[in-house]
Amino acid sequence: MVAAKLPVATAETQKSKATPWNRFKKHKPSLVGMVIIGLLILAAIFAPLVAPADPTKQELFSKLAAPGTPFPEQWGGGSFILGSDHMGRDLLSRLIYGSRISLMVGFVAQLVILAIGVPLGAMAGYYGGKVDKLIMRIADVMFAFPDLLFAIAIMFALGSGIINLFIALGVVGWAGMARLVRGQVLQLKESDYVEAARAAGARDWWIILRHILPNALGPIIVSVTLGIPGAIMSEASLSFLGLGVQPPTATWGAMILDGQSYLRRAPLVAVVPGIAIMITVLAFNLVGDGLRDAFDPRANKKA
Amino acid sequence: MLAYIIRRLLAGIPVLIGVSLITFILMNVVPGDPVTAAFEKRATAEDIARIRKEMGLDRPLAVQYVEFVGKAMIGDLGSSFRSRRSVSESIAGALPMTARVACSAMAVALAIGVPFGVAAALRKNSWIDYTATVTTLSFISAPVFWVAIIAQLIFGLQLDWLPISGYEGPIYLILPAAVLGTRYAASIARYTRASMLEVLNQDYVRTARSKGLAERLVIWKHAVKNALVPMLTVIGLEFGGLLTGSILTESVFGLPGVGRLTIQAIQYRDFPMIEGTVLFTAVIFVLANLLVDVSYSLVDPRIRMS
Repeated sequence: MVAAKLPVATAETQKSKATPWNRFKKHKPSLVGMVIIGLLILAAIFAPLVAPADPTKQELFSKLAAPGTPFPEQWGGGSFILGSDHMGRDLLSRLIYGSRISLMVGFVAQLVILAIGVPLGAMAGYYGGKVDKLIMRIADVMFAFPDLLFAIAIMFALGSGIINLFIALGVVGWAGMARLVRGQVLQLKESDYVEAARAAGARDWWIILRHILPNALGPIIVSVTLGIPGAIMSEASLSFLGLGVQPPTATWGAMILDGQSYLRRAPLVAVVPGIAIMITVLAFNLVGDGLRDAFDPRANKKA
Repeated sequence: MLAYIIRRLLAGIPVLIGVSLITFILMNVVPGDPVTAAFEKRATAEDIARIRKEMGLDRPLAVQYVEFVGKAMIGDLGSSFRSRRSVSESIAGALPMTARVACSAMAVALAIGVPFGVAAALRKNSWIDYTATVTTLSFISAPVFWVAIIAQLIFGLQLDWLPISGYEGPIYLILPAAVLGTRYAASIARYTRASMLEVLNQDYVRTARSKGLAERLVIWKHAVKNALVPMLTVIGLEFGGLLTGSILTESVFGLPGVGRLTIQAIQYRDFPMIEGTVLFTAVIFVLANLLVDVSYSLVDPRIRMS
């Protein structure tokens, strides 16, 4: 019985997916965003090939070098294209390696948020009653902390490090996802096909996984896409406050922190990583906006 | 009306309990033991045991939590590991600074954001709309602490117009308020634009136009007034961002507010101070949101019904 239903459900999902994609393709700023994100991902993956030098190699004789200064002899050929920082590390190489941390934090934090938020939100929406009350009460408390302050407190308690960063951003962000999924489930569980699946004797988890969540995919994708720049910004802020990834790992936020003390002598050290953050966050925001328009959650809400 | 307000306030109580519990767990349970974590490099095992006993940290956690909440309710948040000063007094001393930064930034944000949002909505898809959208998106995408540093670089170090660090008078507020304010002006402009676009499609705007009302009156009397109602929520939502934004702004500009107090406490591993400032900020945030909800129901009676 259930197996016979499957093709119908998938065909329906694919049909509703085809139109958003066509709408998305027409949104030019989103395509620009996609290209930028693609380039960033390539830079992050091939950082060792693209970067002119080792991002953590220090050379105290060439600290705060002006852009264009040749590398010290023992580094081989090349030059500090963007100059060097206060420890004589190549700024451009640190910038390129920094994209790895930003992108990784952006994506992994969203995975953690999905892993916590989707099951809890689905349970709350599907079962209602006490389960719903409990989960949503906890979510309310999470919302009661300003995001960055909450992340600061968690990072302080756990100590710095990239794993703790994933945990902190996941703990801070899951409640928003749970709320979103709950709303979707509440709406979709009344639909005829869910009723039909239930009548056919399908188990709850099967109905949620196979019938409800695929139809809630649009808003979830939009939320994830718009959550990535948020996580990147949080990581940068935490690293800037000295609560992110441990030095000497190159991260954009920590680079700005380093550069802050040398604004007069070498302004680029602080300026350049900020531009990188801005472009990355902007690219994800553009794509997220395009996706939101494409899926048009307003139309979903009214349903 | 009163019933609604009371119900709303009562609903805030479990949230406040949850907030205090999470803060307590983060500061007392997760790191193991705050005294050991703070002093392990500087004190002997006996000293640590003695301090723990003095602070009552050798008792069960549940007892400690109840005491923490009980004392917090009468304004006693313990005393700093570092300065020995009372945490509540330190917060009270730093609060006016944060209030000044947050209020002046919000004023800047509204003064810039609302007109820009309205203009962008009225000329939808024109170059003004396009420029406003790109500018606001770029501002939202730039980290606030980095914009602060750029402002220091340009207006302090290069042009030498304004002081960039510390606080000795209102002139020291100009850069922080401008930096934080433009950041939120961008959000406010985006929300105003969306809200205006929705309102402009409403029947009452069409009615106002069709009865021959001057376009200026239609816009300002009918559209903007109604478009600003949802802005209350936005201001409430952005208030949390403003609080955390001021943590970053205060630490860049060296302003002695609650945010800088928090960050300094983190640098010195001053647990009671962190616990106090985090709890305080979260409680303010909860109360601000309650206030927004209540005032929203005053402006828009439909809310109370649901």
